[in-house]
Amino acid sequence: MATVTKTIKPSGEGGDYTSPASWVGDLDDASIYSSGDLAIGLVAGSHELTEELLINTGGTIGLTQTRLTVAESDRHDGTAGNGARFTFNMAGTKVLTMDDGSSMNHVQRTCEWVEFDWEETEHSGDEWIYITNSAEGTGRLSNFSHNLLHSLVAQATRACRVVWAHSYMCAIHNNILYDVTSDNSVFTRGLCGPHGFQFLGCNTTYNVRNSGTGPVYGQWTGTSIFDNVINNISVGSSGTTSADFSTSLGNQTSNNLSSDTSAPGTSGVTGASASDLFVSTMVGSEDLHLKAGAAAIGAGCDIGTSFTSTIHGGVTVASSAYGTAINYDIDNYDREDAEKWDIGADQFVASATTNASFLLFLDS
Amino acid sequence: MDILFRTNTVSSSPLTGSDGDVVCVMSCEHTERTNARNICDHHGFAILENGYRDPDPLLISFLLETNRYRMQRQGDRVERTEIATGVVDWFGSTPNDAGEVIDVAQYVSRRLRHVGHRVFLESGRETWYGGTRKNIDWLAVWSNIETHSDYRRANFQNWAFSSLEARHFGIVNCRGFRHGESCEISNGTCIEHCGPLYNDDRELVRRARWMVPYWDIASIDTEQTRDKNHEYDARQVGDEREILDDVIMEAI
Repeated sequence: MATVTKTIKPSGEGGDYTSPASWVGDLDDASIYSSGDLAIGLVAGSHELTEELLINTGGTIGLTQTRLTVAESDRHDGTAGNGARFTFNMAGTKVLTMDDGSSMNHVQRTCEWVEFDWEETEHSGDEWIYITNSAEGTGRLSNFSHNLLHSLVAQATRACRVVWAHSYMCAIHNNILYDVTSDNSVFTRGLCGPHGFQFLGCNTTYNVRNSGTGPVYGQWTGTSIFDNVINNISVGSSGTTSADFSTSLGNQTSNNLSSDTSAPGTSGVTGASASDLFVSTMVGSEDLHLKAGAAAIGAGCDIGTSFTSTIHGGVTVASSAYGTAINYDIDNYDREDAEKWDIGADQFVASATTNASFLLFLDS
Repeated sequence: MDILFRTNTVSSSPLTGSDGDVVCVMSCEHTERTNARNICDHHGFAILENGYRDPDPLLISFLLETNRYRMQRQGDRVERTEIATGVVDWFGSTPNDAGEVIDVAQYVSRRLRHVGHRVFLESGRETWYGGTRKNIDWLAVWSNIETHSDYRRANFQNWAFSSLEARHFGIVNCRGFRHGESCEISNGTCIEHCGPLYNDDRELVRRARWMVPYWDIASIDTEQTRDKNHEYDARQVGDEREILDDVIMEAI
């Protein structure tokens, strides 16, 4: 098995490909890949997608995994506008589909470290990022992690699912999602995984709202006992009927935080406010890193290297086999170096508060 | 409109790609936007010795045209100006009526540690830009680029495909034809000519709804476009370009 890395940079910037679509279009090319290879697409710069990015190739040649990721120097820092970014100008109903290949050879899919900026432009469709595995099975994990998603305005009257892990064995972790606006009578869900064997861990969602009558959930899972919902923050969901989390019966569900009373599982935190949690909720300068004193600090569950998810096959979510492991936060800080895990996508590090006056104090 | 299309069939399944399938399309507007963003990408401007990004007029004028707000720090507060209207609001550690709050010291120090930050020192104040600007005036963006650099909009009308793309895919362009005259194809028409095909039950039918029957198009050399060892670009200029309906067709 070889790792084959190709760069994806905008037109004229000297990459191997000028769009994610052409990288995907080449994943079955025998002059580049062989059976058993890991195909990595390194995204840099800003890419305006004009069609659904459908990642379902690589099965014919027998790739084990495709990984859309971003080099460390080109990553976002958890806030908008600093790293590799997708914007959307399209007529389709989805912006990204990660499909393991259905009836063909299974290919494990990962997408990480990308900023998805909908730019407040109304888009059609019910779901935007769609992740599907054709069947359960050991190692059949699709991974969506460390992405920054924001400024989505859903088409009026249509249901809204921003990230929809549609079928078995999907891990959604360390993502930040904020500012989702909808107006429908159906439902609005930020991160959702309805079909069982889903892992939602260490995500932060904020300000998912619906001005229509449909129910709103920042994070939503079905009632499968096989779901794991751990260490997530969901705050500020609003609508006629709203909850930060849906009810989850997952057999590993704990340490979640909500602004209402809906945080599921044991050892949760409820009644927290966004203004007490985050560095900035100011429109135009959103920064959902934890601020000093936030209730999420030290309130998480250690789901690092010694933890195995109970979703089918006993997935070790701290394994780097699927991409960046869950113990790395939205700044790529290793939580294993911290005394306790925090809830949400960010692990608070005290030195983050360094400023000029603090440095002067140290010098004196 | 530039088109990238498949020149081989990788499997017997149309779900993963067939010969001639459209891979992606780029309208002239899309190409201009992308090139403007590349030229003004803040990563291309230096971080100064003081740790702030160089407030080069080319970059600042781009940010003023493409962001909704300009933020300036004053102590532990932030002055936010809506660029289009000049409306000013102040923010700090106390939530406003909408619950918005910012810990400005932590916000700025976090940004400055990131290699891709966009914090400037303007008139002695830490300054940054953000928020979604709707209806960006891309002609104004290009006017600023031409004012502050040697780049000329006329030279950035075509998508610069990579060497690998020129070898592995087919490349062609086309024009519109309306009221007896040639025209550029609108962005809306362009994005209607790409993407997968689903049935009414949302099941994937074909990976690409549209295809380029390049073997039947006189201006495309079939042998060259299938040769993966050599770069080949079948794009033409002006009225030598094929007309949209002669290049691209629905796959089913």
